[in-house]
Amino acid sequence: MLTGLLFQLPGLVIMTLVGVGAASFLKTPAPWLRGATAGLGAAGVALVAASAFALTRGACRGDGLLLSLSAASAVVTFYTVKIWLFPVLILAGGLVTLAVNAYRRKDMAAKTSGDDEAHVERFSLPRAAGALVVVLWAAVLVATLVAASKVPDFPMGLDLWSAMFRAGSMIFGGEFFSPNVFPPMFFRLVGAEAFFSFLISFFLRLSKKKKKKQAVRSSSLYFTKTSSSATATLRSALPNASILPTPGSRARTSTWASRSCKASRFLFILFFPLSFAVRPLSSFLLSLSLSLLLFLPLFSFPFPFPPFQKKTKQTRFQLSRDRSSTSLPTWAPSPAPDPRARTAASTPSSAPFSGGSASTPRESSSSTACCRGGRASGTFRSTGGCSRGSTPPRWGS
Amino acid sequence: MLPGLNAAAVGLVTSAAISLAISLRAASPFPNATVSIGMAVFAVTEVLKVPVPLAVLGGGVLGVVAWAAGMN
Repeated sequence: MLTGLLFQLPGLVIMTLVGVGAASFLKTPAPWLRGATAGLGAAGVALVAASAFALTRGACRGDGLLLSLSAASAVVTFYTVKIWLFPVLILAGGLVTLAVNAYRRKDMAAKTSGDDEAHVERFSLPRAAGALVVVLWAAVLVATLVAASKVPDFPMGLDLWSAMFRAGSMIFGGEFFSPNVFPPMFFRLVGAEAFFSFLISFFLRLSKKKKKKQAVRSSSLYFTKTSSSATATLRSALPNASILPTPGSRARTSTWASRSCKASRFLFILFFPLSFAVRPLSSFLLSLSLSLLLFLPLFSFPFPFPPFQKKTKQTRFQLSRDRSSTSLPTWAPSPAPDPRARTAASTPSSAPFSGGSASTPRESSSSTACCRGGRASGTFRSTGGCSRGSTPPRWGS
Repeated sequence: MLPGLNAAAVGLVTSAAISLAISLRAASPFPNATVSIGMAVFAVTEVLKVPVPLAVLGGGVLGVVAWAAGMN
């Protein structure tokens, strides 16, 4: 809940404020602004096309069947747009894969999925309760679809419920543009005239694009390993947490992602006086500036992670062992724990918030593994923030 | 089952990209120049690896240039 709130709330508030500000401003745009919007729109469509190519390459990986499924889905959804068509197509793609797997007698997922999926483990929910949840979800989804198609004047609240529940039902991964949510939401709710808002949203998310994979891995680590690591959660949740200094990632943090964050601050400084000087743009720019002002402290949240430490041969060896390991995290008390580790483990759970000065290089590498997700998550080691209660974690296995 | 689900979902993105391009061309004051700008941005981001923010801003600047030059 905390991850979802911190991950989505800033974007929601910023886009709402920008939308309110731009609503009156975009009704009668100036000719030059129409030209700029058309150029920005062309750039945005080009980037969507690039994302589609990249997603197709990643999801299909040259497999003829998967490429055919993707092409068929694109053809059908381009020809007609129905509210029930998107889930039906996605489900049909899954069923075709199941049938082909049964025919070929091999699992296609083993070819197309990476290591991350192989590390996903079961939740502790019993099978009966899980089946009940699935049946309940399917029943509500079908009822929502039927009601939305049959009732002519859907009340506003129920319409919102219908849109959100259908969108949420089709999310089964975390990709750029949320591929199975973006098309129906776009066709239903947005339209070409609001393309400028879409581009602003895209521009604000640029700083997260390069680190998306890392953030997704952190999230999957949080949910699959059920590690109550406040560090990993907040790192995956904060909008620009990926540019914060992490152990062993100084080279990555010097990429354009950090520069784009600095550029956003510069734009804020530039836009705020302009919002008073340029009258027609004032409402739009003022709202944008205020929304940025609200969340700039969050963007540069002084999160006291452990200081940067160079990787040693020992930590590299440890990480390589972690990658090859598929065992569950070990939380049993160590017979002879490292005294420094005991000190860190006995720190209260808010230890990551109080500074990382007590971290050793070994702890830093463990924290990195904890934050970077599944590949290095076989044997989960942590600082005090990752530990459960006062039980000291086992260092090495 | 998951590869098929993902492939079908990616098809929706492809369809959305084509629909976006068509609707944007129809709404643009200079349709041909808009398509050209889109292709140029695609090329510079995919081939030349130009940073995406710069490409987006360049698209906006090219749009203003196209409006000032009276392109079609």
